[in-house]
Amino acid sequence: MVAESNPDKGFGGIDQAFHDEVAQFVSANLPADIARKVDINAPLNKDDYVRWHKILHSKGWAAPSWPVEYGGTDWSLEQRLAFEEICAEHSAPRLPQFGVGMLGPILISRGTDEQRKRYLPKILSAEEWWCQGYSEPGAGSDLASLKTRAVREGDEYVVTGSKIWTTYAHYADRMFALVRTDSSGRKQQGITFLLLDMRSPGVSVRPITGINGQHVVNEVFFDNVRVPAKDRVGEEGEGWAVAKALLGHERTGIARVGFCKKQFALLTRISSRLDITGKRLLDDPVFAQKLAALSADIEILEWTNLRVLEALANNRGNGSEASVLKVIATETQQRITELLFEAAGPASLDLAAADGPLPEEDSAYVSSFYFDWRKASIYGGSNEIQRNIISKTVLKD
Amino acid sequence: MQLSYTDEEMMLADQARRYLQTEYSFEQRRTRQADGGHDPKVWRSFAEFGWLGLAFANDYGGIGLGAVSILALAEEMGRALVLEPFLEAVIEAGTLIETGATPEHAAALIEPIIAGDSIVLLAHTEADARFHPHHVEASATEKGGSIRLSGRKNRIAHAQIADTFIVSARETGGPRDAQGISLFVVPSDRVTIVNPATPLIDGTWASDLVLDGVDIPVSARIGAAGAAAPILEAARHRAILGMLGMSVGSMTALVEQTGQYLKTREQFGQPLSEFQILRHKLADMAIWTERARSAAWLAANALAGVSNTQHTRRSIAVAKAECAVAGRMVGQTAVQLHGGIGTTEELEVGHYFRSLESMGVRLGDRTYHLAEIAGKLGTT
Repeated sequence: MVAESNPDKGFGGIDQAFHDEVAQFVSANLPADIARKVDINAPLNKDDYVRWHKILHSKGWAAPSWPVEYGGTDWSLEQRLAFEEICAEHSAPRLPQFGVGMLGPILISRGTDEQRKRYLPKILSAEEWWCQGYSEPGAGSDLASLKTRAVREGDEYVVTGSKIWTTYAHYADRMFALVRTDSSGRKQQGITFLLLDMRSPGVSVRPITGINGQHVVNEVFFDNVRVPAKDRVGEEGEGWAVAKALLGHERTGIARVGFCKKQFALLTRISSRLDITGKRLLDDPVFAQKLAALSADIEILEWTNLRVLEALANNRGNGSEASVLKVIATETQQRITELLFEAAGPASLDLAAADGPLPEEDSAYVSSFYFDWRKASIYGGSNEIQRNIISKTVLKD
Repeated sequence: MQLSYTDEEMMLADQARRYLQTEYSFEQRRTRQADGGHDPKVWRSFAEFGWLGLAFANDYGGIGLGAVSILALAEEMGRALVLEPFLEAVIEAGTLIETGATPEHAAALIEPIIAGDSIVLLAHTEADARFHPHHVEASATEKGGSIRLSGRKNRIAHAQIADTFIVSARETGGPRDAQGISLFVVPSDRVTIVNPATPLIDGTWASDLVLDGVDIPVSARIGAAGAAAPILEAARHRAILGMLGMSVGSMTALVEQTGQYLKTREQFGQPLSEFQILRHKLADMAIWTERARSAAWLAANALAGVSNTQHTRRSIAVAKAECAVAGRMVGQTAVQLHGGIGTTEELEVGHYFRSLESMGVRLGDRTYHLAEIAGKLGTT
């Protein structure tokens, strides 16, 4: 019985030379302290992210998805996926995607030449750090109901209102934001996409301490903040279309299979510690069955990811693939965090410190990770929103 | 790596879907189920389409297509809930013969299978085996140029229509040893059928077989003496692949039918599809179906490569374990969303559910395959 090959579909498996080049570069250049933090899910700070970003930039790999003329690569979707997964498997951190993954592609497709020249090089070099101003206290899953107001005055917009759940706003130099310039029509109309300076007068940032005791997200307030009109992306009132165009980008980042495998390795390590009688948690049949089911789930995630990306690369699909993938991915990731929490036993009771020296125990951050990762089924369109999209697709036919 | 069907495979699936839509409606299936599932006319059509020779090498008159083609065709058979012994008599028995028999012996057995003239079934499972792949108490004793087979085989699906059995029997070793098992080709008239034609949950019939000192020539042995375990494993893997395909086809049909039902059935003055709680359950059915589809592609890719490696074994165990739970969730939810009518024999839904549960159990249930995976944890 013969095996078919299918070279036309673009997912024939990446070549070994590419794999080796990425793996060798990451192994040789990733600082050990960052790798250790990633391995045990300790929180990373801005310096950690910027250091790794600059190392990738020195190799020309800071923004693989961008066109070569802006400093990107000519990699295929499959190569970009492989790059992310190999990095994750070698304990590299996943860099915050607000600049490279989100704003960059928007500026490349919808920005002005001036905006591209002004902003893209500093995203690439990590000189400027961006945050995303979408969610508001009254606009979560129903994002289009946002109320932050921008009033045109001459060459400027004057912005008043607030944003919430703004990841790393306290690190950011600039924010891309959705603001309301008109409230007369449908709620999706009258939204405008602005780029604003976090150091402008009238911007204030309030930290929000997460369920795990760590500070990652913030609330951001705007009190008559002045934004030059040339920092508007797209036309006034077309911000919703700009934001939606972005949803198609960076699909390679949904599943995070390499990250899941890495976490499973940590779980195996924690479960393999010998107790005084020479037994391991791994030898407990009840726990072993949970681990077996989880390892199967991760493999299903890996193949779902490949199938979805291959379908999207070939313009096949019914429109709900990314939603299916998001649900499977986040539920699998959350299951990993549950079993890590369980494997740690009494050590899961310790609340990890927000700063200070890095603990030596593999299990030091399992609780932090478990509690923190509840966000995964909420952000990026909650899993309930994803189920709405999926059922709509089924009911369409 | 292959992640979607080629044009050729899609044509095969289209051909199968068109034929089964007209010749294998639910009402036609109901009539055939009353006779144990096999309809010689349908089987003849399968032969004419070339489906019975799909996976056999060209040397034997087959088409020589690979694992993904099996998946494509099996999906359509699962969608139509086909009762014919395609997995058992073509994929499973065919793989045994092609993997184990000498070319001459294989040719003699395979050509009538492809033509639709012969139904060959593996008779391996025994009453105390549960899912153990090497549980063989039946004995084979060589004596002066012939072999005497004694033992009992349990719950052999479609046994009532087989002309030939491939019987596993032990030449050496204890009841669960991998070593010592051999396979023998035995005409069905040499075997005593007991508990004949007992109905199974999937709509087919099964029987127990008794071999009461059956003497057969040494030339009836397939492969080397006592070395059948890897041959059985290869056949089991391919049969599981076929079941995964059928399961995915059944789940896909259940998602579609349940969606249609929610749109037409009205309660409290509106279609059921207006209730978000029901839409979300429908979405879960779709998600479980996509998980099962990923499992099927994982298995197909594993079997397209080199067989019998640890990787193949793990892939099959992962796929079978995942597909079992997916089939259960999709089947249960389809019944739930159809309400009272879903719990009756009148509607297709219940038949899909029973078939999915059947495939979840056969060749190892979820617990069995998770234990296989668990046994290797921490070793790589």
